[in-house]
Amino acid sequence: MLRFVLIIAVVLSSATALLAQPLKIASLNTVMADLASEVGGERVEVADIVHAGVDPHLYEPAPGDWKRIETADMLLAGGLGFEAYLDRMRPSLENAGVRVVVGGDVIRPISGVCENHSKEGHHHHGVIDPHWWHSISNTRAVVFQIRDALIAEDPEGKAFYEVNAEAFDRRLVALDKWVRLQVVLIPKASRVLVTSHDALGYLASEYGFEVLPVQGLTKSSQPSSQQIAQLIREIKEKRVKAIFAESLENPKVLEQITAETGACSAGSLYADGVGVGVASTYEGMMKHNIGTIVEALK
Amino acid sequence: MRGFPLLQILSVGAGLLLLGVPVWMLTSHRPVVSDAGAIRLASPPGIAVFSVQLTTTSPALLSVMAANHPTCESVEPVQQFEARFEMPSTQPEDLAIIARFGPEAGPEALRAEVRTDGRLLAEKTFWGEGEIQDVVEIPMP
Repeated sequence: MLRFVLIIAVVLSSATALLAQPLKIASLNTVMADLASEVGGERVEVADIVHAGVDPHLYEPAPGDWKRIETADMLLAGGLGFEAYLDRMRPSLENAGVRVVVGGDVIRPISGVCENHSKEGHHHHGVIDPHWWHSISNTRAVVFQIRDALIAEDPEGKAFYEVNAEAFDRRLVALDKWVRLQVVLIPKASRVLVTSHDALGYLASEYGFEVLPVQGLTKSSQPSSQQIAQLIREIKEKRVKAIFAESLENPKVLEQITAETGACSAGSLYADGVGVGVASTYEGMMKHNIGTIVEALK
Repeated sequence: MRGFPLLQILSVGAGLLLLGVPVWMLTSHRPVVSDAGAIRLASPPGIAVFSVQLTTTSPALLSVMAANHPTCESVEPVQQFEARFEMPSTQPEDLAIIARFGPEAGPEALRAEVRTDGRLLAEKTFWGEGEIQDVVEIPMP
């Protein structure tokens, strides 16, 4: 009986959605955009302000982007410093009635490698890592945050958003189990990720990897030759089999490291958001990244 | 022959000797070779044998996977299955366990117990329908 009532409620709210204008959502983060599309379905219209292929570390909103953001009902952002300009724009957006939803507000942050390495080339930790989506449990928390924000903005769609969020959450639980089953195939001693920049800390923490990044969290500085020499020593000591590039990176430094260490170049990972093709959704991006890592290190 | 007991004893002794020589030749060196092999297989330095016992509520195709090892799987649906893995004792690999139940099966359970030297290191029970897949982490012995 309860299921019947729920189905009727969802059908009615879907019909209402077809008649009503969809909620306008602007997103500064491609992962947040995908999560909002999953939860909001046809009741929302999501505009990627920063879309796949744009480096979010280097992005600054253009005047045209400002206009699209200001006319939206809701703005989605990753937070934790990922959008350095967000704090600057937030007060005026909130005054204009734009609801700002920041994913980083509901997750437990971890620290990453800072930009300024010591003279000895050691990494320093203490800067918050904003790439929270590489932990599926963080993403699950953000899915429910988006659900609650959508309900607050559009109470008539409550049942619709709840059903969608629950269904998507079940898929994320299954995805997490799939990842764990894949990672088992990599010997523990080989679970070392050498990447362009320090974006996979949450994945490492959740699934038992060590990350050796060439750059820190934000790519704002290039590594010195001393830092690269130190990294090469570590790669040799740990007998790292493969090195991963990132889809938005200049691969020259990694090519040099690959040549000097004898490790193989294992393909590109999507670190700063969703990618293209099969990786254009959150689930697709995770499957691409984990598949690439397991294939190279197992 | 009947009148010479000494000759009888000598004849019986010679017979026993003839029968015993081949038996002695077949068996005399084997224990030494076998022991050496056994010692080498049983205790390579830093390696321990981890025994994984899977038990299900109804027959299923069972398999266990670990990094650097071939997959161990039952050839037919069973309710109990044991696999053994030689792994570094200081850093044993995690195990992926899978049970595939027949189409007629309902909600089922899969229990995994991991032992080394008879000591129970990890035990976990999983529930599911159709197929149960999960990971068992082995703590250091």
